[in-house]
Amino acid sequence: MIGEALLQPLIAGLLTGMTYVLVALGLTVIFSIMNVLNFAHGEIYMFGAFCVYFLCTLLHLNYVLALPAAIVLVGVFGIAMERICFRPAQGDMLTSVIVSIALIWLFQTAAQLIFGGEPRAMREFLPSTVSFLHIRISQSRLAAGLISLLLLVAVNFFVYRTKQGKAMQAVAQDRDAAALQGIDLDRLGPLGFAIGCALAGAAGGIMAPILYIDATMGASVLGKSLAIIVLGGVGSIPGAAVGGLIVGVVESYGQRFLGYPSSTFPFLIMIIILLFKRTGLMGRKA
Amino acid sequence: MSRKTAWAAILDAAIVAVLLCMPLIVRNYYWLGAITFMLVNVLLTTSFWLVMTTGQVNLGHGAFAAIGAYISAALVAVYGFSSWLSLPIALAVAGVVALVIGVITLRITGIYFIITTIALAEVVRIVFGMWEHPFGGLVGLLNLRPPTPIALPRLPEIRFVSKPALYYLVLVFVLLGVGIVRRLHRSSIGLVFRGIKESDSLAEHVGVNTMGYKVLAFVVGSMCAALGGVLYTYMTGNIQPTSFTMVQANYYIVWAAVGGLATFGGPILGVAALNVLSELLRPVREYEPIIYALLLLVAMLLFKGGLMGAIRRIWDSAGKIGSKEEA
Amino acid sequence: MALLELHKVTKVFGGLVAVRDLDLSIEPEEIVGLIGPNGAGKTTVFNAISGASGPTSGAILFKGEDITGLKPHAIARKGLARTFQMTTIFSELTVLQNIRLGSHLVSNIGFWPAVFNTMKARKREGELYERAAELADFMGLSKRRNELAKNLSHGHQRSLEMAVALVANPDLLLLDEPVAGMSVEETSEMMTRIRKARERGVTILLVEHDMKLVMDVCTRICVLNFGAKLVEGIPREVCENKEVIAAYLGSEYRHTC
Repeated sequence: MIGEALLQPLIAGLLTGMTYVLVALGLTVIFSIMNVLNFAHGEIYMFGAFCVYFLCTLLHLNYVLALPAAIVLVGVFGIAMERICFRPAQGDMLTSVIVSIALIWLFQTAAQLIFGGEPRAMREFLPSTVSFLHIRISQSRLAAGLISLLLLVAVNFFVYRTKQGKAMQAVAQDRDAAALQGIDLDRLGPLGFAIGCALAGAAGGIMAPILYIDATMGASVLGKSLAIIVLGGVGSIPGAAVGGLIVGVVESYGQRFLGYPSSTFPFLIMIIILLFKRTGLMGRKA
Repeated sequence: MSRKTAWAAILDAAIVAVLLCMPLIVRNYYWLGAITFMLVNVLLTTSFWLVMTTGQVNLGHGAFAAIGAYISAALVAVYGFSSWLSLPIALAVAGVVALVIGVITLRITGIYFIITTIALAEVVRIVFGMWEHPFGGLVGLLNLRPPTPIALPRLPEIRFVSKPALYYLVLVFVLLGVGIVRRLHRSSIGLVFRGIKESDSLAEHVGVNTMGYKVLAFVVGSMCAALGGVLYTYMTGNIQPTSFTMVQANYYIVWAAVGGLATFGGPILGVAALNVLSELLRPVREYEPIIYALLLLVAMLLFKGGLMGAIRRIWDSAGKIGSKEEA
Repeated sequence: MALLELHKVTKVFGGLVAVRDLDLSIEPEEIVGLIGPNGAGKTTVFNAISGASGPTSGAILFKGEDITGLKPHAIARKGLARTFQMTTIFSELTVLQNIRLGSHLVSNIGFWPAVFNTMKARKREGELYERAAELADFMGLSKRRNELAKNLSHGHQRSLEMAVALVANPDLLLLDEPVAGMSVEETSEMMTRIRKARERGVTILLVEHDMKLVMDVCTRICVLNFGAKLVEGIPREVCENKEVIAAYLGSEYRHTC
């Protein structure tokens, strides 16, 4: 029984952590390529959730189709966002910070107006639960974790094996050198945003059947994503993965044993890392 | 005194005169209240801007307003202190916290510092929500009484219940805080702040203890924020964990940016313009953040230097018409 | 007593040994040139001396005091100034404001007098700005006193950098590639200023690739290669040295030694 009390949060945390990894990964991809921290990233996550919700409930699309559709929609939206809002900022940090804050307001309020203030719930994709070793896990959460893992592997493949991915790595390491090598920075910006936003939207869509969906769901996710990318190191995919799992597990245990005060944990972790090893567990140069 | 400084002094005097006469000019108590709020926002935004002049963006600025508000409100409401004792105590606490946090975190620069301040703001919010006693937990402290009346010998005591009385109280403290910021900015200390922002490394190499100066700006700015927080509780009668979240601090950076970050007057202009706009948009209140956001995007992406920068440009080009070209 | 002494200074970055066991000694009123191929470690040495990036091991003594590992502002306080390889100025401030900031260490205005702008403080500020104007004139910036530093030409920015470094009357001035990107005329002007600065009592250690300037201006030259000292001596000795020619100057190099 003790084992169950200790293991349950671990498994739950790992599964939730997987989705955090996706969001954080999206954030870090955008940051390492564009040198822009998109604070509205949480709202993209919300957007993905809402997309899936509406595709499933209004258009009666099967979840298996709705999820990829939502991911594509969000990805395209990301490209538009880059074009309209972030490219004119030309990498100036202050301007992009203010722009992304403006976007938070825009998206959150628009969501509130269009979708209303009431949280919505979707029917679960796989309603039953599964248990082994005396631990109960909902099949939905298990599926969420697996889909996240799949996407993570796909992104990993893209970044490390494809030409475009390697171009992204080059830009992340040294913008000027990459440009001198003939890499078209103007193409990579939209690509980075597309992937980054698609990942966040995917996470939202994955969590849509599991959580309540409302206009403010992005805010808490942003904080955790920041903590994850700091913990794991900006620009590092394995770092985001490890960081996400750690944050997921810590949050899970924290909620189980400490309750409300445990919501400070991701932020405290973040502060401690920034004070001691700014590059995070696995990051390269700051 | 040169002509420029003479005009500036006249402008200063005119503004102070108008501010002093405000309750006579604006009879409507709703509008007087709105103006009073605007004054508090000016204090909060200007103190935020002071920290920005050293190159550090403190998105946790609101957390210090919260600290000021909570400490003074708790001391009065829960422990029965007089407002006039709890105010300096609240400021002192905020100052000490700012000193500790500043010394620890100002080593971090750039976007990482911004992220740190966000994290700190969230931690403060959660911490204040943790304790029922004395901070009122997630609900906060409500129904706070107005500031303790001041008893004067042989005169009726000064009470702070009416809107004009509150207005003057707020005005005095806002002028004090904003005055401190302005004094610092105009002195050679202010020049050092700007130098640190331009190049921390060069400033170090000419002998400036940049950490010391950054901490100074941070502590002064944060104490002014705490003062703003206290004034806020006098006006609204409550303080909650969500009163000064990072979302609120976002407003300070927006007002400052829209007004123009390069000069002292910019943020003030931004606060005035956007608060007025906010009042005008009251009928369509739900859409206000959207309009704000669009305005902001236009301002940031198209107009560099904000409103003040635009005014400057117009002023400069108007001046050029009819004057001789410089060689 | 030597003004600056480096004892077995070593700087390691990760796996790379940038500077290895460097011994260097600089006497007052010398103009010492530190030369070597790109990557030889010259700027690393400067960073170690000025405190921007202290040595991994070894000791640095300035006026007899151990300054190893001190922060840059503490070292500057002892009378050391430097310029940087990449032009480093206060971009959004005017020329005069730049130089005024450079005089931070000699401003002698207390904190509170500065805040309250007392009569005494104002008087002193006036003096400091006069001095800044003098130095601006000295560096050929008299017509540009109130221009923003970012609007100056490259050559003028370099001159401004040196003015900022000189205004506090340092005992030792480190110049990192002072004439990089300058025209022949500008270089010649800079050489005059370097000599004039030395006449005013400033000892100079400079890094440069412009051999003409180095050979003409320096009283002594130290050659670095791969982080270690190759040769040290008066210009004539160095430019006749076979190893230096092989490593750096190139066998085609002919200088009227």
